[in-house]
Amino acid sequence: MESWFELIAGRLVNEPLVWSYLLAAYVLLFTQKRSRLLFAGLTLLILPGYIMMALLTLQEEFWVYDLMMLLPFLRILGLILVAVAIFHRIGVGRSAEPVREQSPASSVLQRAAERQSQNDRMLTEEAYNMMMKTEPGLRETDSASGNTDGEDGGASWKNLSRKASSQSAYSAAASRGTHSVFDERLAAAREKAAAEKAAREKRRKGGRFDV
Amino acid sequence: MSELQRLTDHMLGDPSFFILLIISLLLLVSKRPGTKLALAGLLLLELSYLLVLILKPVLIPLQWSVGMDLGELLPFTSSLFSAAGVMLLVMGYRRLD
Repeated sequence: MESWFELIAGRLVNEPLVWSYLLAAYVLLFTQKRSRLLFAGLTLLILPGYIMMALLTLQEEFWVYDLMMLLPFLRILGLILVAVAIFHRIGVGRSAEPVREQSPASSVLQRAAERQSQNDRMLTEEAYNMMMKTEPGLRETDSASGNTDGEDGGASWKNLSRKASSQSAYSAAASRGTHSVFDERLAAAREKAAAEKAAREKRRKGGRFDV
Repeated sequence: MSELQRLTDHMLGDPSFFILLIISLLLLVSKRPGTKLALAGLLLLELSYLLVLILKPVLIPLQWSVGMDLGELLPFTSSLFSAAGVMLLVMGYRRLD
């Protein structure tokens, strides 16, 4: 006389669906990321049939039929879970804003612009340090036209770096109509620093240096 | 009433059939690679028993050659189709990524 365990196991071994379910479980749980939902859906789709088979094998009729009433609902839930997993992976329900892929050309341009802006900031910083060495008393409020820049009257580095983003401090000041002495001196110091930098580059490359 | 007609009537009264219909339509209009494979797998998994009933005239002469009577061969073939459906569904799902 076979036990109930041997009876059920003997029937399950001959089911190709059980083997493919086990293979799918391995693929979904161990080789794929975020695919547990599909696995749960597949389990709920496949399991009710085998639960029914096992219950009929056991032949405990007084409670089997009550339990069988629930099995179609499990199948429906499994189908819904599989659908949710697939549509989640497709991307249904996410924001409709398209993801703009950056072309290689635009990324090169962006990097070049960043590099140029960084060079510009470094040049302004160098010009500022040079100017502070020669004229330590000069302040940003020393305006030729009487306009002032900055609340405390001091030439803070924060204000300077704001000015020196893409154009020189002098042209920025010119566009605002405030030709302060500080801006003019800074522009001159920037030009001088740029010339020195170019000369340094030339010397580093081994070329002749002409003043 | 034939067995196929009885099964079709049963399916039309089953809510999971309508859910499957909606999912199939949504997957059919999707242009992502892998959706058609996943759809084929899902349909094969869900409608394997229907497919076996359609193929019953072919399976009847086969029962003697495979050494199974029809009562064993039909569930086995249905399980085989479902297994293929699961594999197709997993393959389609992997291609969706």
